[in-house]
Amino acid sequence: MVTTTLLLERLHDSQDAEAWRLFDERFRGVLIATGLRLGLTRTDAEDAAQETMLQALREYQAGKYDRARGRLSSWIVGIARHRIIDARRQGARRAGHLAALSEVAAMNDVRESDVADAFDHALERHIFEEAWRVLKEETKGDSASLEAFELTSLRGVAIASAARMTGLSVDQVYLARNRVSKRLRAAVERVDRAIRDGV
Amino acid sequence: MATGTTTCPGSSLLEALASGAPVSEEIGAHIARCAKCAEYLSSARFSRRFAEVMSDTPVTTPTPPSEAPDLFGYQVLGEISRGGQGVIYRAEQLTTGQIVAIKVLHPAGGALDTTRESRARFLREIQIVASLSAPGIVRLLDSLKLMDGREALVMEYIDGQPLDAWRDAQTPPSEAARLQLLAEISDALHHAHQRGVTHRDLKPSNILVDAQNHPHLLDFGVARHTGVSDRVTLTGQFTGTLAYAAPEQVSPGSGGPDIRTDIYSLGVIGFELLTGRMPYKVDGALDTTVRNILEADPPARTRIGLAMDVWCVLNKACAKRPERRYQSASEFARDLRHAASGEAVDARRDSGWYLTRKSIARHRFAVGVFLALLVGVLGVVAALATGNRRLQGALHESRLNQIHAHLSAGERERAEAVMWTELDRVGSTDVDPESQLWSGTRSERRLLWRAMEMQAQATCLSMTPFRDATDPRMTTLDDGSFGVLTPNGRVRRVDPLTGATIGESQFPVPGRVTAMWLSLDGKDAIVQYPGGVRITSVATGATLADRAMTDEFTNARGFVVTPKAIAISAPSGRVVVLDRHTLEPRYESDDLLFGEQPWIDDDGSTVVFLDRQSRLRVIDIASGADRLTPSQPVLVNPPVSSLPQVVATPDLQTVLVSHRDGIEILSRAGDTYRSVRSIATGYMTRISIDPSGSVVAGNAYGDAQLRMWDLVTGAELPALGGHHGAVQTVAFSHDGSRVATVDSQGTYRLWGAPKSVWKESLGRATASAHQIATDPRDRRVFAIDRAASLTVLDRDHPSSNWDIASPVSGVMVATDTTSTRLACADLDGHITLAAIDGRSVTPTRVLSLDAGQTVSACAFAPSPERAGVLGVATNQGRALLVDADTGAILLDREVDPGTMLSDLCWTPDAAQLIVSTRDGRILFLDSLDLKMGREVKASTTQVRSLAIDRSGTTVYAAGDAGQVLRVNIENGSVRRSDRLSEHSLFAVAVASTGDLVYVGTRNGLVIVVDAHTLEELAAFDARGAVMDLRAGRDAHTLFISAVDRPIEVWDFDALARTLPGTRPETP
Repeated sequence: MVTTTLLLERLHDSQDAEAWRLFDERFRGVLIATGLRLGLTRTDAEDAAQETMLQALREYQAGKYDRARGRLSSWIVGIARHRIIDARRQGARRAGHLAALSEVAAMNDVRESDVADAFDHALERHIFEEAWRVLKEETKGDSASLEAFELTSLRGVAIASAARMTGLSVDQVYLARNRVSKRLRAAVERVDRAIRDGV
Repeated sequence: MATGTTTCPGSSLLEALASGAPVSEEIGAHIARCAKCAEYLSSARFSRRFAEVMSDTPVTTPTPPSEAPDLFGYQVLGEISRGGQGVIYRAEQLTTGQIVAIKVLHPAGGALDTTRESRARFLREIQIVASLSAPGIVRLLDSLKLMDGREALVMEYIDGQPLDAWRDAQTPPSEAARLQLLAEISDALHHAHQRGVTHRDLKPSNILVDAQNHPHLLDFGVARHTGVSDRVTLTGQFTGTLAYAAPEQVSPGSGGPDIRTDIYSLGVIGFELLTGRMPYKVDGALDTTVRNILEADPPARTRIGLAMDVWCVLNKACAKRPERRYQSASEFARDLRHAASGEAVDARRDSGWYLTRKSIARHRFAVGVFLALLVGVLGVVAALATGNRRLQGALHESRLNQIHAHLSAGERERAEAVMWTELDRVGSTDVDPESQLWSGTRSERRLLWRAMEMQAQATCLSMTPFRDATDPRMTTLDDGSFGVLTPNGRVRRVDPLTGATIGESQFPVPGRVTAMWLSLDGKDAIVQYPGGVRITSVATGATLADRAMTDEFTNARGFVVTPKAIAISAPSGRVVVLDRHTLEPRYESDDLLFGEQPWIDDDGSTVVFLDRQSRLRVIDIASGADRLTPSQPVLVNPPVSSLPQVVATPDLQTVLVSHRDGIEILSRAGDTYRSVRSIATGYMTRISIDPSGSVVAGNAYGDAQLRMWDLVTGAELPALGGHHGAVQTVAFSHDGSRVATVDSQGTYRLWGAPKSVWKESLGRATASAHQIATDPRDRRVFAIDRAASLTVLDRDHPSSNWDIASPVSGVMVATDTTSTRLACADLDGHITLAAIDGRSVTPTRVLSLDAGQTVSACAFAPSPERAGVLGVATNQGRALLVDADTGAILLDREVDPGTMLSDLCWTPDAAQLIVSTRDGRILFLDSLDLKMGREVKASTTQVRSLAIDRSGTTVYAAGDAGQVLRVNIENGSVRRSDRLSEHSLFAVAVASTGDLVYVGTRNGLVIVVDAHTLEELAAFDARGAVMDLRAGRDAHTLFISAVDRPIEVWDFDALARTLPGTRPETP
C-alpha cells in the first residue's frame, strides 16, 4: 500500500500505469459508494465515478492540482461533487415523469456539502477496510487476537462467547481487543495519510 | 472534588464507558490521571467507531452476476468447480490484482462448526499447511471466515487441468513423462511429509497439471476438517474417494494412516495413469470395494503391458502392508525416476544380477571390450588385473553407483564397505579425508564425496530384529550401552557403536505390565502392574521392593526413572515421586495437567511440570516448594487432549514441553522461564534430548520415522525414516554420536546422529529471496525476511538486531566489497540505496526504473577504482550503472532489446560486466560504456545464474538445462557438464579455491561439482528451492538461501573432519 516514492510524483508520469492503477483503486470505489449514498442508481454512480477519474487524470496532468492548497482527497471530491450533482439532476429528469413531484424535488436538492459528507463517509469506510486488511496481513501470527476482535467488534458477539470460541479467557479477550484496536488505529492513520495525501 | 480511586477500573467497565455508559466522578478523575486507563478507553472508543463504520454500507465494485459469496477483499470472477467439500471460485485480490482460487467450504456436518476446539484445530492445521512451500504444492495463501460462519481458503490459482484430463489428452503423454510427473508429485508429498503434513485424500482430481506438465497438489490437510471421514461409515455405493484409499484407511482397528498411506494412494494413481485402469475393481458395492482394497492383488504384469521395473515400483508403492511399501515419498520418487531413465530401481535391488545388468547397460562400451566385466558384488577383481583403464573406470563408476544404491536403501554399512573396498583398490589405505577430498586423485575425491553425503545424512548403521521384543523400552545405561526392556521380562544390553547384543537376561514379571523401565545401572527393572509398582533384580529375579498403588495410577501417563527417584503420573494429573530403591513416597501433587508426563532430575531432588494454569513449575521434592518463580502460562487454555510431556536438560537451562500441536522450548531467564521458540508439528510427539542438550528427537504415536530438531536454532534435522513399524522407543549414546530406535516390529536400528557440526542456521526463514549478500569477513548476511524486508543476520551477535532506519522491502540484496553500501531491489522496479555504518543501515534514496522495468540482478563493482558503482540488469534487456552514493544513473544502455537479462556479475578488475539472458546467451560488456564485446551462446534454455572465479578467467553458468557451463572469458570457449538435475538450476557459486562449483536446484539440492571436470561429486539437501548461493571467503564454506528456510552456512571442511581416516574395524 505505501510506497517509498510519493504516488503524487508518479502520477505526473502518464505512462506510469502502476501509479494510476493505484490511484484508481483508491478512489473509484469510494466515488461509486458516494453516488449510491446520494441516491444515484448503480449505473449513474459508476458513470459519475468514471467521469470523475477521467477529469482528475486530465487535470492532474495539466498541473491543476496544487498540493499546497489541499489534500488530494479533497481535490478529488471537488471534481466529484459536480459530476454527482449533475448525475442526480439527470436522474431526476428521467424520473420526472414517473415519480411524485416531491421526490423529484428531493432529487434535485443536493447540496455540495451533502456530497462532501457522503464522500467522507465512503472514504472512511474504505480506509477502515484497507487498514483492516493490512492489519490482518501484518499480524498473521496472532490470529486468536484478531479473531477475538472481529467477533466482538464486527459481529457483536458477547465477550464471554468470544472467549469460548477463541480459546482465550475473558481477560485475554479484552486485552486482545485493546491490542488490536491500537494497531488498527495506527494502520488507519497510515492508510488515511496514504490515501488522502497521495503518498 | 473527587480525587479518583487509585485502582484502575476493569476492562469491562472501561468498555462500557466507551459505549456511552455514565461515568462516575471518581472514575472520571482516575481516568484523567491514569494514562493507561485513558489509553484503553480511547482504544475502546476507536473500536466502537470502527465497528460503526464497518457496519455501514460498504464500498463496492460492480457486483458480479453470479451468486458467489461476498468475500471481503476479493472480487469473485467466476465459479471453477463444485465438490463435496465446497465450491471453488476464481477471484481477484482487490489490492494486488492477483488471481487466486478461493474454496468456500460447506459447513461440516451440515451445521456451522464454530466450536472453539475445532476452529482452533482447523486454524492451526491451516497454518501448518500454509507453511508448505514446494513447486508441486498449491499454496494456501489465507483462510477467511465468512459472515455466515463458513470457512474459505484462499489458494494459489493454477491454470491447469486435472490429472485424468491430462492423461486423456488428444496427444497422450509418454510413459516417461507420466513417470516423471509421478516423481514430481512424490517430491511434493515428501516435502509435506517432512513437515508433518499428510494428505490422506490423494486422487486425480486433487492433482492439477499445468501447461508445462508440472503437477500441483491440492487440498492438503483439509479433508479432516470438512466432515469427510477417513473410514467407511456409509453403506451402499462407494463415494469415489475410496478408490484411492489405502487398506489402513478402510480397516477399523488397523494402525491408522501415516505417510505411507499417501504413498499407497499415489501408487494407485500411478497404476491408473500408466495402465488406464485401477489395480482392482472399485466400482461395485461398497463392501466389495473395501474387500478388494484389503485383499485383491493387481493384475499380472503381462496382462497390462508394463515394463518389469515400472511394475515392481508400482507394486511396492501399493503393497497392502505399510511396512512393505516405500517408507518415504522421496524413495518412491527416486525409483520412479530410475524407472524412467532405465537405471536400477530399489524395488528390485535384491537381485544382484539385476544390478549387474543395469550397470552393464550404462557401460556398454567398456563391456563390449571385455565381456567378463561384471559390476556390483560379483567378483570383478580378476578383471582388474588386466590394468585396463576403461575397465577400471567402469568398475569405479559401478562402485559409486553401488554406494549410492546402498545409501538409498538405507544400508550405510554396506555403502561404507564398498567405499573402503574401492579406496583400497585405488591405493588409498590410509585416508586423510581433509586433504584428499580436495587434492586427492579423481577416484579418491569422488569416493570421499560419497562419504561426505553419507555423513550429511542420518543413515542406518545397523539393524537387528529382536525376537519377542514388542512394546520395548530402551534406556542409555551408565556404562554407555543401551538397555532394552520388554514386558515379558527380557532385558537386552546392546553395544551403542555396533548395535550388537552383548548380554541378555530374563526376570519374572508380575502379570500384566503397564509401564516399565531399567535402572541406569542396568541392574534393576522397575515395573508397574495393575495395583502396584515393583523393583526386581534383573540378575536374580528377586523382588527388591514392592508398593501398592491406587487404581488412579493403573494406566500411568508418565513413568520416569532416575538414579534416585521414580515419578509416576496418573491420567488425572496426579504425580507421585517415589524413592528409587525403597519406593517410599517423597512427593505428591495433583496440580498437573491432565495426562501430563513430568520430568525429574538425576538427583531425585527436583520435579518439573506444568500446573493446572499451564505454568512451568520447578519444585524441590524435599520441601515441596517452588525453586523458581512459576512461568507465564506455556499453553493457552490447554484442552484435555494436550497430554503434555516435560523434558529438561540436566542443568535445567532448557525445558521442552511437547503437546498436541508441537514443542515449546523454554529457556531459563533469571528466576523463571520464558518461551524462546515453538516448533509446530501439528501433533503430539514423544520427545527426548540428546546428552549435549542440542538435539531433540520426537516421534508421534504410530509414526514410522523419528524427527529431529536442533534445539538452538529450531531447524529440523534429517529425520530417521525407513522403520518398518512405528517407532516405539529412542535412546542416544552418551557421546551423542548415535541414536538407537526400536520399532513396533521389534527391530532395533542404530543410526548416526545428525549432528550439524557443519551447518549453521541464521535467523528466521526467508521468503523467496532471489539474492543475498555477505560482508567481506563472512560474518554478516544481508537477506530478505518473511515480510519481504531487508534483514541483517549477524553471526557475531545472533540475538541482537541491526538498526535499519526504515523498512526496506525487496527481493534481492547487494553490498559492496567494503560493506558500506547496500542496494535492495524489489519486483516493481525500485532500488533502495543505503549506507551501512557500524550495525545500522540507513536508506539514502530510492531509484525507480522506467515503467515496466524490473531489476533482474544487481551487483557492486568489486574493484576500488569503481567503488560505489552498482551494476543493474533489467527484465527488458537494459544494463545500467548507478552511482550508489548519489543515485545518479551513470550509464543506461539497451543491451539486448526486449530480452530479459537474468543475472550479472563483474570481472574482478571491474573491466567487464557479464550478463546472462533468458535465451541462454552470455554477454560480455565493457564496463566503461556497456557496449557488448563477446557474445557466447551457452545454452538453448534460460541461464539463470552466473558466478566468476577469483582469477577472473572463468565464468560458470547454470540454468534450466540442468547443466553447469564453464566459459573461458578470454576465448569464449564453453564446456558443459552432464545433466546434473532434471530440475532447473537456480543458483551457482564458485569456491574461493576455484576447485569446486556449487549449484542450487529448484527441488532443493545443492550439488557439488568438480570445477575442472564438471563432474558431480555429491548432492546435499537444502530442504527448499535454492535461490542463491554465495561462496564464503573460507575455502569451502557456502551460504545458502533456500525458500522458506533460514539462511544456512555450510562448512564442508567441518564435515570432512567427521570422516573416518581408516577403515572401521568390523565387529
